[in-house]
Amino acid sequence: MLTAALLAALAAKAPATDGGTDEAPTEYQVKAAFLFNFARFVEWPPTAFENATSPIGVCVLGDDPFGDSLNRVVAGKMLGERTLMVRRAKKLRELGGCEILFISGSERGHLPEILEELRTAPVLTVGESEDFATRGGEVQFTLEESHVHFLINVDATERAGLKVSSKLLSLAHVVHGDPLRKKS
Amino acid sequence: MIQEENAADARPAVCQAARKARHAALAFALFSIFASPAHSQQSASAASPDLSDKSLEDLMNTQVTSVSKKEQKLSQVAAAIFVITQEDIRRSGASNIPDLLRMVPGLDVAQINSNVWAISARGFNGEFSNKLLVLLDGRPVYSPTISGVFWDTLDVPLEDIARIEVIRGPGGTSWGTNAVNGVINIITKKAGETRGGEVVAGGGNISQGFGTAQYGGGLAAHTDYRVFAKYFNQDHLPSLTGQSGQDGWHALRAGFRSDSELGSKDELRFEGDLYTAREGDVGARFTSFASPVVTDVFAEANESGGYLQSDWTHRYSSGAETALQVSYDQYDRHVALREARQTFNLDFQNHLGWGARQDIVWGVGYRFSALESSGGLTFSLNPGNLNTQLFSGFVQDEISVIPGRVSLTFGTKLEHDYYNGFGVMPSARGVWKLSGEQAVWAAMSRALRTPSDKDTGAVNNVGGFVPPGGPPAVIRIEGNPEFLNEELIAYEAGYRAGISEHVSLDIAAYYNSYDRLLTVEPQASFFEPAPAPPHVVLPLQYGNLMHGETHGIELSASWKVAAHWTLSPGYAFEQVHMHLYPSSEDTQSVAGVEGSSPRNWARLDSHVGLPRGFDWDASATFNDRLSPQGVPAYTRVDTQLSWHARENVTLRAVGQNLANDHHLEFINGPGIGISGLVKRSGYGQIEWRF
Repeated sequence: MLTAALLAALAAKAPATDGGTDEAPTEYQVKAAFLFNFARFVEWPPTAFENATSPIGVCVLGDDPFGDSLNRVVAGKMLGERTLMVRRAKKLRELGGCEILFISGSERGHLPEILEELRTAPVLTVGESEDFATRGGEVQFTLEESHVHFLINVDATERAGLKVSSKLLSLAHVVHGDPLRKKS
Repeated sequence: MIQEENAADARPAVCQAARKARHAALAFALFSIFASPAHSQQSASAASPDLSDKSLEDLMNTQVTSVSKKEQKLSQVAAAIFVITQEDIRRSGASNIPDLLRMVPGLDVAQINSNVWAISARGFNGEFSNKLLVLLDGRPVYSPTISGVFWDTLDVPLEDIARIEVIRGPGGTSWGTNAVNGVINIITKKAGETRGGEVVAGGGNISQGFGTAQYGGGLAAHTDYRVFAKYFNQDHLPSLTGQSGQDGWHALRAGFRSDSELGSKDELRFEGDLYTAREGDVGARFTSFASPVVTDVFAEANESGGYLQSDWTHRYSSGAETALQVSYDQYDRHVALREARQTFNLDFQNHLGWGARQDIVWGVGYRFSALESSGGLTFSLNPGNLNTQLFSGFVQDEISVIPGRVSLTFGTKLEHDYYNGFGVMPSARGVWKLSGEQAVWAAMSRALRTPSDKDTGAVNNVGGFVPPGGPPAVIRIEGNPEFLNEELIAYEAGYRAGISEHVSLDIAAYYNSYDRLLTVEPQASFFEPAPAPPHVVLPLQYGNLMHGETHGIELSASWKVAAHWTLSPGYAFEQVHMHLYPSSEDTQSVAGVEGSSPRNWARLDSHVGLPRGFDWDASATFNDRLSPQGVPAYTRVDTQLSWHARENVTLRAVGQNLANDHHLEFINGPGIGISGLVKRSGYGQIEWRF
């Protein structure tokens, strides 16, 4: 609060029209572009789709940090025969047809339940919390010195039946260990 | 006090609230400072670029403007602010808060001995620096006994710090009486950011053994918590004569923090800790009136204490916000003065917009502090037991003169303290955002430093002699019940710029005019029959008979030399001129203040990312000499090699003060902790997260 007071006291407010094209893209503009690329470099099992032209769903669960940038990057784009669609919902059961699921920070309290529910679903789960990948999430964004990087938990993607291209893996920080994998 | 973390969290709830307020600029006024990236995008939808045609490699090399990063916020603040991020902390090799602060231009950090530091901003440094306000998660870490900070017991696991905001210059309007030359706000991570377990352990030649064990998790759907325990054992440093300084110490601390979201509009936070420490307490002590001289005494002292704090924040859908902080703090110190102090703090703030262009923050605060002390022959307080109250209120209005370009902030604080009654601390600040990432700012403010219990009630025997045939004579520094507020009128200006994608620059300059500064004035001698033997007292009483000016310039820059190499140079220059009023007979305060901080200070930080998970960090810090104290100029060299052996395991090797075997940083004044030498040291550390 005191910091808030200070910043309020000392800072000029950012203009509402700030963020023009002359400035670096924001974190979530870049993350939206990454989600688009995940769709390009991940292969889903055929069972994930109804048919050969079913759209690829890019979903946001919980409060949406992307603003309009996800729509701009993803919506209406085609990958092969499939269009990309953006869906958003506050609850997992309200979402259907998701191939990529971005789990917002607002859901962190429910993360174990969400991941458990998606345990065997062919859905690429993407999150941002520090322990997302180690909890069995598949892709975790990290920020390193103002650059967006990502971890991929290969045991988790394998459990979900997803094939991640070597190109994506070569750029990712690969981690192992999947707490959601049931011992057999 | 939860608000500040929102910037880092990019809380979507906040954005939505702001969006609902749409064009009501008042909401933007509140949130644009803390604007999440999403928010910026929403408001800039027309310009939102489509990055989908960029390659993965390009995306990974794209620098993003996360509002949680300091660059963006910094470019808009009308003050000399420096933010130490968690990344800076990890790459500093520092194992305590004072060493972390060494990277800030304009901040004077000097280690006096193993457990005593002198830290100040823009001059007036000393063990009991009294013009710097330090906050931990918004709670003043402040002892009214000395108007200063006990740095030895200000400790949190460094891994849990989200960032440290350092403001040089007065922050009196929003923070009050100790924020004269600077404010340091240490902000810890939310509990949700430290889930899971973490163990940090290590040791070396001076840091002989240290460790932190921590665990965090969720209590319910909307509550996160963490608990930690921390221990360290520091070896003695050498004394000025090269002997053991007998100043080694060890400390044990345990604490917690919990964060709850109550619905979408309320947040509730609790935090607290308990500590115990045993320190080598070395000091010049007055041992007897029969032979009234001071001798160096080596003793051991126990320190203990703890705090409990709660913060409640409520956001209104209009974007306005109220926040309430309640805290209780207690400590016992058994040094020359044995004191037990309990402090209760209450702080309420309300943040609202008014019309399209104004943004108002107002607040009220109350502090109750109860002191019980018993001194020895060297130092005591009169009265020894004292309850003091402090009432404060402030209001400030930020006016957007040219939206997005020029804004002005006017504010004032009104405070009523135990000793001097009402004090007024107004300020005016303006910032003009130039093209791109450049901004110019200027400020004028008044700040007051209210008397400490030491200023008003000290009874400090600092020496004496036995004249032939006469009773012993004792030199005594006495507090002055009529001690006045010290006053500062500050003029500041600054410029900061992101010159290119790879280079950023921050310059601040100031002219400070002080009045009614502390002096030590000889008084008429008197005869004191007790304690035996009867003796003559030659008293020196605190007065307010010095005034003066300081001026200086501070630069910091960052240069991304290559993808994995960053160089950050810093420089500070300061001149201090003090003058006595004609009625003063003080002989030491002018030289004492003028010689308390270096005229030139320079630093270079280098951070290199190496292959195979290695990072190499190094820094060199030059401190000019402190002539009146006889402290020569010195250069510190610190370095750290980190290896991220696994995703959750990091090993570090740290070397500190590598340039010399040992060096002197500060000579303390009479009657208090004895100075020692800072020694070359090294330690190894392992961090394991699970």
